Amino acid sequence: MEFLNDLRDQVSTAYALLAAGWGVQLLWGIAWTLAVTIVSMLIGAVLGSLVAAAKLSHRGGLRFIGESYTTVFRGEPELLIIYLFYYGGTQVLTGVARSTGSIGSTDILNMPSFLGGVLAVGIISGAYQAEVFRGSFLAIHRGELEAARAYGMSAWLRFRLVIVPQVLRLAVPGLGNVWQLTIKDSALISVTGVAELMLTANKAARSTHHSLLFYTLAGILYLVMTSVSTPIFEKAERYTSRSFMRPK
Amino acid sequence: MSANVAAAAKSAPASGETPAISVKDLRKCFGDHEVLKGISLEAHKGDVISILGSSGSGKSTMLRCINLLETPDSGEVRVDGELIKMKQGRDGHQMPADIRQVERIRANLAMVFQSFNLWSHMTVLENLVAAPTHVLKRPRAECLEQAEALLKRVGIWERRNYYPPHMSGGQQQRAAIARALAMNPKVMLFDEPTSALDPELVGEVLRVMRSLAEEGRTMLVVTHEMGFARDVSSKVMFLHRGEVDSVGEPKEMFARPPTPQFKQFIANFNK
Amino acid sequence: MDFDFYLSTMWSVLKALPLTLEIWFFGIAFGLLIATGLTWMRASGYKLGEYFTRGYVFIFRGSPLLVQLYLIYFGLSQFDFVRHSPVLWPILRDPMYCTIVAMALNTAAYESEIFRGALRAVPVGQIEAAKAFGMSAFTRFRLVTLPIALRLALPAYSTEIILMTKATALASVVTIMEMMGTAQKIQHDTFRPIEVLTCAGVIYLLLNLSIARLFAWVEYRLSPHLRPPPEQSQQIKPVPEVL
Repeated sequence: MEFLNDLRDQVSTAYALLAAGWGVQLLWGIAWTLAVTIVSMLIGAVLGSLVAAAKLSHRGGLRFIGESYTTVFRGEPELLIIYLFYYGGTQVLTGVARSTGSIGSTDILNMPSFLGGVLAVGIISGAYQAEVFRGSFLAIHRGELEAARAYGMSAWLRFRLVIVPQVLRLAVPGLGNVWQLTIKDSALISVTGVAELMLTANKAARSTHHSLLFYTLAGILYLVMTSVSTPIFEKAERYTSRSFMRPK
Repeated sequence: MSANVAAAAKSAPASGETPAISVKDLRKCFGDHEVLKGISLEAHKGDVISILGSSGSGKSTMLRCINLLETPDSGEVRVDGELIKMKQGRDGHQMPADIRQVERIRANLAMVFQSFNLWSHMTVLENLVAAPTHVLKRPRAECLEQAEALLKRVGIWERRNYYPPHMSGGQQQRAAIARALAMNPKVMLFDEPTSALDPELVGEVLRVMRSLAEEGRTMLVVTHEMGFARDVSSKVMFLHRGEVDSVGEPKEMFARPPTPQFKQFIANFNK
Repeated sequence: MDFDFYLSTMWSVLKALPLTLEIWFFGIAFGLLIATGLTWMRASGYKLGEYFTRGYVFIFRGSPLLVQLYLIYFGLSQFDFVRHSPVLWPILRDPMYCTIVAMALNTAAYESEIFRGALRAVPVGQIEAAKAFGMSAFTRFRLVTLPIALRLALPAYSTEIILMTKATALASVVTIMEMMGTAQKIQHDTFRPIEVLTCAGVIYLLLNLSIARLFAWVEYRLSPHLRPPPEQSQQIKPVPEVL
């Protein structure tokens, strides 16, 4: 029964705390989390398609670079990559600024935490997106490419009219998975001080001493974000593969 | 049902010998579709019964009801006189009352499948030894010795250490027959044993089956091989839309088809 | 290039490898136990078990591991009964145990899905053959279903194990001085994050590559039936890419 009493206390204080301003803070946290995720996904899409192209290339050197990229960024702890971009970025920026004399020789020029965060998460996301794009490209029916060549399409035309639409269609379910992964990875950049959902929940937990409440709330909000995205990606899948369904 | 069923029943030995398999009034539905509409069958020791019928006639389902891979909705199955006990399940369907009894009876009714169903992670030899050692609890050394002898008999002893995916369909099916023989079964059930084989591989499997028939094994064979049905089996049973259309002596049945359905059936095959 | 600095950093981080491996090992071991239980509940055919497993998987896959870790480490101590429990409190006040618990609970969700998929992928015909030869449900499972399912689950399982290696780094945020924690401390002391993190990165990568190699080898050993038949086996198949 102690358990139930505890729980009831938590619920009754929850409303008061949220109304006292933490609710708005959490909403901002969600906004930042989504911003980090979206920007990271975009960075990842650019890097991912380049890396996928490298991995599919006939040139051994390019293939090696592509393979190394996906092996390293899927094999390293996410936290390490984030630290590397945040603290490493600070190290580089400081070095450059000191040598040009724009800051004093003991001053530090910090890496903007949002930039460091999205670069790190974007690069990790890119490694997973590269695998998705590569898989989709390999799944394209060979005959379609041959047909395009047989009709005298140039490489660029084949790429634009056949490859891109097909890869996108086949990649949608895989991208849905990467999106969820990226949302979850975005929580890690709280360690660099981006005021996204995780850090907001952290601050709230520390200053109110209601860690159970705020971490549970954060957990639920992440669940909502990951599960709301599922039907969106399903809809996208239906849209991109409409030519493969029976006409209504 | 035609009059031939009664005639066939009469042809059974009049002495009170217990049939190896006796099936009475078997019924089975899949959803709304009634697959078996009351099938009866008796197999005596040494009988080789070919069960014919077009696809969807219920012949495979009937065979699978005998060793309870499918649970019949009603009717009774006796093996060596022993009735497989059934009870009413909570969902209203029949189910086996005593799974131990079913397992014991299954061990006496070795089955050969259309798609071989050899255990792919075991070598051929391991496939032959698995059930005798674990189900019949026989000593492993003895089982190994018997397994090698059986593999020699079906002509794939050289492949005893191969894994099933590394063999041709005909070799796999011969291995599967050897696996069934390793159980020293009272009755062997063959579920379309040659239907999944390339035409040139059918012969080697049929030769093994013929030799089994000749040594007096009791066999129920669901098949599309008209030659086997006519020349090797001691009895032919023709199922049509879930019912026994006709039963009889193979030579007699093929020479003078007793029903228009059977006549039509063999006419389609001879085309 | 300051070669000595790299060497000494490498050595300091390596000294924390046993702790990383300890977290890794217990996280995986307890995770496997929980996953086995979840898979069994899901496969048992009871509706209640199925709903529980679905809910479990939904929650633990849908939220970040970091939230789960904070919830377990900081959140659960809010309950008086946790603080007064002679069993729970020694576990939940210790950041190391909490990391192991969080990792185990988290990986169990993914693993139970892997196992479920593998069980469903076992060819029905081979199970049916086991039935037709009179094997009991237990013998069937032991001789046929389990060995086949384990081989099928291995590739996805090895990926999950590698994710767990990466997850051990989260222990550093709850003050554990495993490899990541150690690297961070050196980095703060020396303000040379790029060099320090590169050293740690090399060790993590080598660790994960060895794990991937190990699994590829186990997979190769366990699937002779998927390799070419004996007389062709001189052509050794390249080790499959796992990472």
